[in-house]
Amino acid sequence: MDRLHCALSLQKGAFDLAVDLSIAGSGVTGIWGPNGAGKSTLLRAIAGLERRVAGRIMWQDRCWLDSDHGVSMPVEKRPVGIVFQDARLFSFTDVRGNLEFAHRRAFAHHNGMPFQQVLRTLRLEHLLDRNVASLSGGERQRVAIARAILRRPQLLLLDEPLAAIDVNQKAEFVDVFRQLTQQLHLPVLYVTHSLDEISVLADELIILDDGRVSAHDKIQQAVLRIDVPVLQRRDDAVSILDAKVAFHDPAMRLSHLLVDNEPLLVPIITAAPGERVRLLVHARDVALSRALQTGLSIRNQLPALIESISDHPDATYADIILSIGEHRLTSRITRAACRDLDLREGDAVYALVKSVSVTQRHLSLPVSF
Amino acid sequence: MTQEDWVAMTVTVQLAALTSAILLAACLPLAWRLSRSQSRWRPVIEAVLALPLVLPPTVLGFYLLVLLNPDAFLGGLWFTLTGDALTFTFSGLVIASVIYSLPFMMQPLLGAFDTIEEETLEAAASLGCGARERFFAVVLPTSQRAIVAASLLTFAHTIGEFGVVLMMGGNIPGETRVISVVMFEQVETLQYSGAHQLAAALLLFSFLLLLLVYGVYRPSRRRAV
Amino acid sequence: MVSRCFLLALFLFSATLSAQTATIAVAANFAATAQKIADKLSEESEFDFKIVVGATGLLIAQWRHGAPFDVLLAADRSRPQTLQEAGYVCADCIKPYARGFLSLWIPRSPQLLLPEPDLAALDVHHLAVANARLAPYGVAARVVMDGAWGKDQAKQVQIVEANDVGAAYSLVASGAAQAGLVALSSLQDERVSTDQYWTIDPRSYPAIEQWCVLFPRGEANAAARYWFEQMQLEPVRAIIRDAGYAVVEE
Repeated sequence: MDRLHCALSLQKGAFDLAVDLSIAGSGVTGIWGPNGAGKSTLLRAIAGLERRVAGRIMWQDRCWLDSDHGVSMPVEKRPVGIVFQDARLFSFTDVRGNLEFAHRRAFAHHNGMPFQQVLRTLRLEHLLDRNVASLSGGERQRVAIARAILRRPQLLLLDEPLAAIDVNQKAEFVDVFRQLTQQLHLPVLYVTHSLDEISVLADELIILDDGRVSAHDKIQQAVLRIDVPVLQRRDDAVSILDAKVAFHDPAMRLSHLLVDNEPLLVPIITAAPGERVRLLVHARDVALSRALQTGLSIRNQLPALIESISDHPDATYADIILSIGEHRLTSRITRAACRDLDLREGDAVYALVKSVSVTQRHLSLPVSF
Repeated sequence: MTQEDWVAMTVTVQLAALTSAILLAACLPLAWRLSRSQSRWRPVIEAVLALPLVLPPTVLGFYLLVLLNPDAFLGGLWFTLTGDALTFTFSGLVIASVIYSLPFMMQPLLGAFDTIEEETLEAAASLGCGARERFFAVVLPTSQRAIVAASLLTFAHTIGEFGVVLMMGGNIPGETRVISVVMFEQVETLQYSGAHQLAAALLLFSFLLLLLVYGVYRPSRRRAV
Repeated sequence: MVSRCFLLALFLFSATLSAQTATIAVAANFAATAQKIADKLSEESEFDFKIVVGATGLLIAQWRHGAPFDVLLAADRSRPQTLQEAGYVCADCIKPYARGFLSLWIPRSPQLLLPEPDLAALDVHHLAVANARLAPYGVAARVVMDGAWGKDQAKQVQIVEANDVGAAYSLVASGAAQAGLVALSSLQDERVSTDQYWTIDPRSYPAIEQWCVLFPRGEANAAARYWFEQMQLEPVRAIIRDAGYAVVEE
């Protein structure tokens, strides 16, 4: 399996970036971190848009950068497709013109999605003759992605594509994007500052902080790295679980999922039994109990073991990592509750899950009860 | 209009067309380089290139006469290369017109190129365009209107050229005798009706030309390069 | 009351002053000489003169549109005659004031100097002349050249036309043209060495006569009338002769 190897460093004013990464050659790898961490800079350096980058970048058997030997492949030669935050569509032609611009310059020997299929997947058929200036933010980004893909790159780079899109259109974009990644089999590097966004989309996560890599792991593990400063004490701390659809209960409008072998109840979804879905569970939606509760409206009570407790004296909340079979879950409760329940590592407790976000083929909205 | 007048008109149009063509070919790359330049010499270069705007045409004509003389360096060079003098020839007039009309091509182009953002060029590069292709496939289409406007301005400006030609043309029929001088002669010799006719003909010609250009040229949003 | 009287007095004073001044429009080639005449005449009289220089046709066009010219010293005869025939000026309001002469000037090659001007043997790139459509000097030059080379004979020399004879002079002076058929008056004015030019035989070309015009406005102006009168009288004629022209006997 190919991987993208990049060991590079660069200086931009007061900021300096130094990374040594081996990025998966398939699936979506997210690059996440606070503003100013260097995420876009890293992406641009990989793309070839930054000057004075020192180091090496290798993809398959091609060397994109080797500053020791003076090798630097210009961006137009690198087999990358780039989707910029501001779309950057060409204003001198319409949507069709933008797409054909890329199509004409496609890498001839690469595999790629046929033109019509790109249009269908990105829902652009009715936009072809539109003026670029008349498109909404979401439409513009979809055209930008289509344009990048039509070039038949081997790597797709996205730089905060949702940043300039309003909330209503984000859901559609995410939906379209997930379909795309399933059909395309192209490795994707996705830069974002939104943990929620990346939790839905990524398979692996690189956490960047102040120009350095803080973590690089499968996303389910990476989001639980509360030892990493930027993940500590976050209100939006989240766990990612893989669940399988067991069966549906149409009468009660519920679906029964299995996380490992533990049952989980969610409002009815359209995935078929046997299908896998990804679940996002926010730490603030997970309460803990020493015993199984009866007379409680929360249906999901999962037995778990406390793996670690992160408990800073100057914080209101404690972050607790639980393990449920092979899965891990994080819970955020007050330090007071932690103390009152006398929770310790290794204890067996029940995780009461109030709200679950289910990502599936056609829906990605939080559902709670 | 007499036969003579038509000859003068032909010379004038040929002069304007050749001057505009030369300036377009020269100013496109020059304006682009200048536009992207971060050098602190840029204001100096821009000022120099704008000089013909403020220089009195007769002064320009006079200095060109001095420079293009076969006895002078530049004129002598041309003479060695081609065996012809540069003064009082159509070629000499072309050189004069190119200098005289330079700012009319340069400034609109520079203005248009300055509005092209680096981001757009990065996007083009990410789609496989090298520097040359970025220029032809993105910069030029984006600047279509400015290019047409600059060319028209230059053409019209050269058609109306008078002072420079008067100084250094020599008024040779079929070679350096242009329509503006013919009109001047008619006013000078009190042939007002002739002057009116010529002026009307010139106006009509210019108007038809502009109409043709604006009519045929419709900014197409459909063609990708 | 006092201030009002003062203003009135000033106004009357300036009004009488303006009756003492005439505006003289002058063809470019005669400008220097006209200034000398103006200086002389204002010395000799209580009048003042303002000189406006330009191309004859343009001056006439400006006058037609209201320019306040009292007298015009034209570069030729035909245009003043045209004005009179068209009725713009009175019958006695035009007359000749100077006669110009054509010279062949070759400033930089004294070897070319022959005892007599021989245009047929001229070996230069460019010969500058005045525009025949606009100036009698040009007409004269054409006649001389046709005489030297025959009307349709290919010339080994390129003829270069300047706007007027003064511009023809400039072309030669600047070196752009190696030779020129220019006004004798210019050569004398600039004190060009006499071994650089010949005067062409005046019988070989139509007389270059310059006529002046007294405009209707000038007829009512004492200073203008004075000027117009003096143009054919002695102190002025001496100046004109000195400048390299001949005076025209009526």
